[in-house]
Amino acid sequence: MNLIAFFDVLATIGFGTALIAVFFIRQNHFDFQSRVLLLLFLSVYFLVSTSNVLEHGEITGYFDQYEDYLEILFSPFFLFFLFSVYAKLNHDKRSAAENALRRALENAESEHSKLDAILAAIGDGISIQDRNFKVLYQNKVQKELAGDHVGELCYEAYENRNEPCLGCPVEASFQDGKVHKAERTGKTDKDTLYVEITASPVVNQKGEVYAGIEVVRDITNRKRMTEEILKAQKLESIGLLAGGIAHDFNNLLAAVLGNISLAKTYAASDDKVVAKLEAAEKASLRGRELTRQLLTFSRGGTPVKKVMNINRLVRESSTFSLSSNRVKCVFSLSGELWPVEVDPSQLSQVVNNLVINADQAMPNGGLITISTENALLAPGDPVLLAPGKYVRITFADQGHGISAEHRSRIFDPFYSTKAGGTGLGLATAFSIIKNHGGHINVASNPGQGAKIEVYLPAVEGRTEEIPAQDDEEVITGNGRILFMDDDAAVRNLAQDMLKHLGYDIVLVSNGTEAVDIYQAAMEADNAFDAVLLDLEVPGGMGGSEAGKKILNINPAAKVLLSSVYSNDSVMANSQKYGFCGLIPKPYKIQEMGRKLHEILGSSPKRSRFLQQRQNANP
Amino acid sequence: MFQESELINLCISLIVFAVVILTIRKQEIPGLILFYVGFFCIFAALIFTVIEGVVWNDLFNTLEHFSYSLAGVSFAAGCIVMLRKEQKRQE
Repeated sequence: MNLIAFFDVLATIGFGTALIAVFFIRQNHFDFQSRVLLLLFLSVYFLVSTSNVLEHGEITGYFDQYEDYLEILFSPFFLFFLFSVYAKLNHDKRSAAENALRRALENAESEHSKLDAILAAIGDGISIQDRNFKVLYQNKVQKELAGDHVGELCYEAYENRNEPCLGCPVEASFQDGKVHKAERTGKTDKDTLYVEITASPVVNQKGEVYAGIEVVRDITNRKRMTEEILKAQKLESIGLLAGGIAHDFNNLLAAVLGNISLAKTYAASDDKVVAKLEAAEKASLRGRELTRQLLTFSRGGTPVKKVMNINRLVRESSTFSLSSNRVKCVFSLSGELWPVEVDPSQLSQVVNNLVINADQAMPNGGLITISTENALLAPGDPVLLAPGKYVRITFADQGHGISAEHRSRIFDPFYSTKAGGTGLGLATAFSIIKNHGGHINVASNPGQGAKIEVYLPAVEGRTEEIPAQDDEEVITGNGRILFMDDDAAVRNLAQDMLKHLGYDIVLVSNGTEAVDIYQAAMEADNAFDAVLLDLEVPGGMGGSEAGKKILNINPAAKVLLSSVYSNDSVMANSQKYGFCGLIPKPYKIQEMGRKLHEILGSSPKRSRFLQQRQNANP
Repeated sequence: MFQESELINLCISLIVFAVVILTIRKQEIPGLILFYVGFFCIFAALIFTVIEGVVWNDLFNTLEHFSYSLAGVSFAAGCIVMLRKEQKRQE
């Protein structure tokens, strides 16, 4: 075999091998047309090579005449094959690109719907503006707050202006590319709306600000909370000042009132003197009420609470408070009212104050509608209280209403729009209700009457009835009393009062002295029947500590506490500390006699004074 | 002497050659480069075929057949490379 024949055989084997391999190639790059063209151009030279082998192997030269025709076919077949392969390749690339684009679009749509859901779930209003202040987007909350204004200019749509607002945070963000905040005030149908606007710039890839995102947050509740806190702080500081004055004033009043009540007993036969003393006593009692209000407002303290149904108390206190016939109370009291834990005297004071206010708001007469009902507060309710069960007492009058300016100040102490008003009524009511864990809500517009809602937390438990008392009965008794008070005038008064009531009395001025004398009396087997201690002794041992020491000496000792602060926590929980009870200062002889009778349990002796009064006024 | 069919064949191949030169840089299919080599060998063979009619008949005839054999080997190698890559990908 010559060299040429060898090459021909090699070529035939090569093309033959390639032809066979083509049937096994399943590459995705080759579609049907490519594979056919590949087979064709390989077949051309397989046949040419085979023909050459036959010719150079000297077998036959017959096929040589067709070689030229076959060879001409090779180039077009190869060219078509290449076109076919690259067409398929381009098609595959385009398909892949289209798939990637479709996936990207699907992802973008998914992200867009997620973003929409997030923006809708956010409680703040969100608005996007371009550099010309045209609104590009608003979320649901923003549309609810300001209406649908997409495509409009923000300052025209939101503020009804012809140019951007002064101090616009979005404009500031456009200028320096930073986050800016601002607060705005608006009006709704019912109330003032406070909003906080936070503007952030939207930056493109070149770092240029091309839009601004405006987040609008309703901060009305936060503002109100802040106002409430400021109001509470103001009340507290004023209360401290007022409380200090009231304390000293009350001690003076104790001496005045006690001496008047004693003087009445001495001058029982002289009607003119008694009349003057009664007038003085009435004035002193009004003074006492005023100082009590002031002390309740200033100290608050722990109310002496009872679980009760407040319907009766509300009805009685309201009726009692009305001084004229021109105003009437209309009651709508719920029969299924939840019990509340309240200090009856304090709640009565609240009702009195609110009814008197409503009465005075209707100089030409009218109706005060008083209702009680159960209220279940849910999270998000506008009332500034924790969610839960409450009892709501509503006082609605037909008066001239309260303007917004006055509404924000009506609970301020000493703030009154009425001539001769003390300005303590509503402040005290507010303080009392706050100390009961409740809240007072005022809704009123000028000329439309006022509606005041009092919320008190409802409790579980059995209600207690309030026993009726005969205030004018003087109950005497006998026994040995140890009396401690730092004020000499009060000590002198107590001496006269207790002697008049039939008791023997030993006076001391501080707790240490009281404990020493009690100890000495016990050792001498001449124990006291009762001990009456003043709670506050400036610079010395007070009643609370002295009482505890006396109870240590004699656990059966009957210790009674007395204080200006009827709402002091020791006073409110005196029995928890082992004391027999309390008597708030200033006290009348009748109150003292009744209290001592309660703890000593001796048989009552009706006083000459009461008998004479009853004989005089049958 | 020149044969007409050989010249026509060369002219057609020249056009295809130009196209191949333009597309060769874009090839992304494994083994396809060997197909290009095979085509160049055939193109060379066609040139040798034309030249052998003018000078050194024996030499260029031998070169022509050598080119054909090289083209056959190249196409076979190209197909085998494609098969191998395919098997690797399947694994």
